[in-house]
Amino acid sequence: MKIKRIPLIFCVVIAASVAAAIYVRADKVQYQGSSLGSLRSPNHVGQTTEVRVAAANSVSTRGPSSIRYKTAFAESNNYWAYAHEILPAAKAGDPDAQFYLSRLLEKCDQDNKMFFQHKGQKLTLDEGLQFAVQRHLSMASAQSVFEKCHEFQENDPAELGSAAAWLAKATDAGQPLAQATTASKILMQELMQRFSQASGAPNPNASDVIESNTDPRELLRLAVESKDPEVFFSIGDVQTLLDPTNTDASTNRLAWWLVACERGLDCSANADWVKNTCASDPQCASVDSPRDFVRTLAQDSWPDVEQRAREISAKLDAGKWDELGI
Amino acid sequence: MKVTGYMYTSPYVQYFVVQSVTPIDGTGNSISGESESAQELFYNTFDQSLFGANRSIPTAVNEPDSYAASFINSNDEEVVPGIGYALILMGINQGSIPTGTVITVTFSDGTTAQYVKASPTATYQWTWNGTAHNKKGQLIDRAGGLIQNPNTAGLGSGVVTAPGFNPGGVDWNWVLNNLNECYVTVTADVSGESIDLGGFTIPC
Repeated sequence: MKIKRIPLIFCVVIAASVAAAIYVRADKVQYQGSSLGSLRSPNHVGQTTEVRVAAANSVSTRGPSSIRYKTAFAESNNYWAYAHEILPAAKAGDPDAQFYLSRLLEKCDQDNKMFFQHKGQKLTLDEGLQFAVQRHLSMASAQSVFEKCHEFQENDPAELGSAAAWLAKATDAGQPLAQATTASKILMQELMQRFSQASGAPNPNASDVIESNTDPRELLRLAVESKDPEVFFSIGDVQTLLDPTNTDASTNRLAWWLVACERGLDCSANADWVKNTCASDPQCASVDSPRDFVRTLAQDSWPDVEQRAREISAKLDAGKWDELGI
Repeated sequence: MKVTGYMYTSPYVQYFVVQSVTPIDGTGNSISGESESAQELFYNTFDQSLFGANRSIPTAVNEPDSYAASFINSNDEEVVPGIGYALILMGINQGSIPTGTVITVTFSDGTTAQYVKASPTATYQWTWNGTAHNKKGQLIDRAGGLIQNPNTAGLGSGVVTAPGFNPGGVDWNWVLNNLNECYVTVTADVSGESIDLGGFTIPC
């Protein structure tokens, strides 16, 4: 009997180990980022990354938690309330909550400065709207900023923590959008340092130095496996920063954007990033299909952009991450 | 590039004899020890600083007065939307400009500043990169204060020739050694009439 019990116990132990390994593996698949112990300070370059995703379900390899936060962020009309709603989860270590808390803190800070502050003074709604009109900025955008962010001006947001600290935590936890956002910030910061080095003038964002040994390419490489269209958009956006001497960077940028648009990113005239980009260009209001805006930007290079986008898509579908040129 | 050498002058010829050439950054530090790719990146940035997005068509934007009349003591909530508006007037959608591109913004008082394109997702689509000049071309900070030349390693030297200066018919020249600054006066002789175009001080 003893001889038979030992293999039985052994099998139970093996089965438990396998189950634990599968559990751990599943957890890692959701956020494949390595532990990147780095703390980053705020970057006034101001990548608020308010890119709404119309078809959140297109995110193929991410968990429902991520989609839930993404949708809630896109639909929220009061970031102050939403911030307090997700704060406990962020404190408990939820990387999605940490990332979206970081995103809304940075967005409200930048938006309030743009629309409801002037020469360091806070503006009322009426004053802000008048100031927007003076600068040919959208009244609707100003109204929206007030609705979502005015409580950050009226209250002390310190209890919510800093955008940079939450972003660092989310990046360390392998949240793909956090990884992509951090990579963009590092690349922009490196560029600003090079400008300072070239001109001899001090870098006005020197206090925002991001102290990290993390290679932004590695962050993007990890993030792309999420197949999140926002990550594709970020990769497109930093093409000229990744390789400033590449004369083909413009085609690559638009190709990645086209892939992002085709895979669910909101690229309509109503998308916040399109509104930001268009500012006072009335022609932007005419785009209504996901491809239209990219086609408008591509002009004569549209066939090349489409071809490059097909190549990128094929590699993404095949999981050939190392062949994506990141 | 830091070029050292001396001026060879004789009654018949005059030329500069190069003794060394060293690539340096804006503060005078050598970058010759950097890797080839790092140097290429630096030169690319430097090129952009000088010429903007494209050497053939340098992107220069005139900031509308209604947004900001001077860079000095300006705020980016005024300057940045003004850049977008000016680009629209030029027929350029700022969305077509890649992130990281540099443009030179000229203000109506003659001050200029360089701005870098930020991400389309950013509220502030343009970010000042720290470089600005007053109307005299001197490097300034946001408050208009002069930024001293950071590259002061070595003092200026050279030879100034004054052909025909001496009524005796022999060219006359003088040598400058180890000077911090040179004051340059510009005079144009047009049809025998001399016109004073003013003067300025530069690091030698």
